[in-house]
Amino acid sequence: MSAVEDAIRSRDGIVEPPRTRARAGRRFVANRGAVAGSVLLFTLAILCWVGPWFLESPTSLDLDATLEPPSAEHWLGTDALGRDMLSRVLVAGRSSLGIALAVAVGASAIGTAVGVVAGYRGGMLDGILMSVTDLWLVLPALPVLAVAASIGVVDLPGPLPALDLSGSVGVAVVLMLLLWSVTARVVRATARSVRERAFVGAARAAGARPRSIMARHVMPHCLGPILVEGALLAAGAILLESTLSFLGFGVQPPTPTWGNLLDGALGNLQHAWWLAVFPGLAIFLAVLSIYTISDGLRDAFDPRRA
Amino acid sequence: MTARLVVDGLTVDVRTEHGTARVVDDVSFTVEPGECVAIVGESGAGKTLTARAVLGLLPRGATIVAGEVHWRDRDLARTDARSRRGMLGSEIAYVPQEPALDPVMRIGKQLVEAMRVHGVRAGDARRRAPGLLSAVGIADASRRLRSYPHQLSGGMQQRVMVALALANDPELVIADEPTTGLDVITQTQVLELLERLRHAEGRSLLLVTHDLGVVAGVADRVLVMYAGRIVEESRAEVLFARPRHPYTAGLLGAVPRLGDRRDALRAIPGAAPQPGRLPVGCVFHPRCRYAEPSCLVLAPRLDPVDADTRVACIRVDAIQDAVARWVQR
Repeated sequence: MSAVEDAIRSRDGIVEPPRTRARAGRRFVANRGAVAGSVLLFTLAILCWVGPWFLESPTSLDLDATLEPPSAEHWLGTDALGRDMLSRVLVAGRSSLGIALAVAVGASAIGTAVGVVAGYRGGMLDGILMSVTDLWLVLPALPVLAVAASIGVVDLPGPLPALDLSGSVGVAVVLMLLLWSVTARVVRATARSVRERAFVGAARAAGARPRSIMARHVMPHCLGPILVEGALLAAGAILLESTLSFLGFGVQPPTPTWGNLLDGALGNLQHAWWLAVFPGLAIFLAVLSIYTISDGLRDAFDPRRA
Repeated sequence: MTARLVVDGLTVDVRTEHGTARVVDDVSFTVEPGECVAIVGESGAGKTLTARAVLGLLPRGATIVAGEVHWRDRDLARTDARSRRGMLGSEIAYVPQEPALDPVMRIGKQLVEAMRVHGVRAGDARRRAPGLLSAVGIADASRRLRSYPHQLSGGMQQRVMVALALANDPELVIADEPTTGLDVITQTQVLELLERLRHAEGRSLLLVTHDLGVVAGVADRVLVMYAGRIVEESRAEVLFARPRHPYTAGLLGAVPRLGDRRDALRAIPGAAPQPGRLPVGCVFHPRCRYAEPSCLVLAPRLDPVDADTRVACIRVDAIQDAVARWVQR
């Protein structure tokens, strides 16, 4: 029993239960599925970033060895232009996982800001922010993304570089702007309950500004839901990007992503199964591992088990 | 120089499903520099709302509809949020009923934050924090600064609340039932602490409580509230020795004494009226053993009966001997 160990370890014998976040961390580590998922995702990421250094370039053509099935030389076979599929899948993972991470962080940040402000401030501001959020929730993602991709390059104000909506960065930005609304909803609900707690009233009575109450007291208490939703956002981003690229709207070749590899596989699907199976497997493994991580986070932060 | 708090005609309404209820009605009092004033009354008498109205921290639905709260050159009933924030915690500090510490923030961080809110630099605040904990009687302060709230006992958490209130050296401390959740020994310690800090630094203290023992221990002056009004105000010794209002007498009489052989407590008959459904005339008349027909129509004003005491009862002269005898019994 860890609680007993803590009691023994503490210097003066007073039972000092471990603190909330450390406890959440410990419960996460005790969750086998979550740990397996984390290891899998981490391995996948390392392979994607390190692996290609030891392989043939994903763009080097070999027209004498097109559409070769998996072999000792090309573990995952070659595509219609004789490019090594292993190398292509791994390099594609950099885009796909990079987009997933960027979307998880960016959309969480937007959603958290909107949710905390709406939940803490309440009143009319809450009404306005939540109406916008609801509007965003019902926005059909694919058509919006398709339209965004067809716009192509947009000029940003000031010193910002032009943004190519059909590049990795552009797709990540569009997904970020599209997916923050669920986080905003969840964070708002938590913030509303945190707002009623005594320490928030005490902070107000001590003259703290609303901004600092939100940042220092309300936001940290929403961390659990933010992390859980963040993981789901990462998985959702991978799936959406794949769907989009598969339909031809997402990140455009030659930059490989798991989605546009699948798109490229379409023409040769009958006689070259490896073109579709391995990018699909990569998507499957990435999304599965992220889901188990999200599950583990949810259980670890569940107040009923805290 | 410590300022004087002057509350004049404070009136607070609360919106409910059934309409508007007056929960604080024409309450006036002062807290002189260095003085301890206690507001006593049953639950729902309006004492907490009075304190919160002074702080400008009324719950949603409650609004100040009349009256003024003078502090320095400002009327706190009408000041804007920004200047109120500048004053809360630094000039007037609040000790809530229950310890209200952020469970995921270390004690030291919370103390430092309380000071930084009022412009103290982080380094200075960190240097001052251990002294604050020592001042409220917490041993091993530097280790406790690294503790999380749940690692402290309830009494210790309430001491931290006092330390937080004192962090910016306020002139007036408003404490709302600061000892309610604590055991008797800890209660005494917290009260002694408040008392010591008041005398040492010349602070004023406005104490909200339903516990007459607490009042007897520390208060200079006592306001007795009933159904949103002050029914009696007096110096503490005078009030305990010679209550004038039948309600005050009932409160004092209801406190069981050691060695009392009676089986039943001497409760005040009836229940406190619901806000919004107050009786006409004197609000206390349905429960008053001395009520006569005029009490049902005439609402008494809080008038002075002598230099120390103000009482809201139209029959105060007629019944004073009977009240005194009843309390002695």
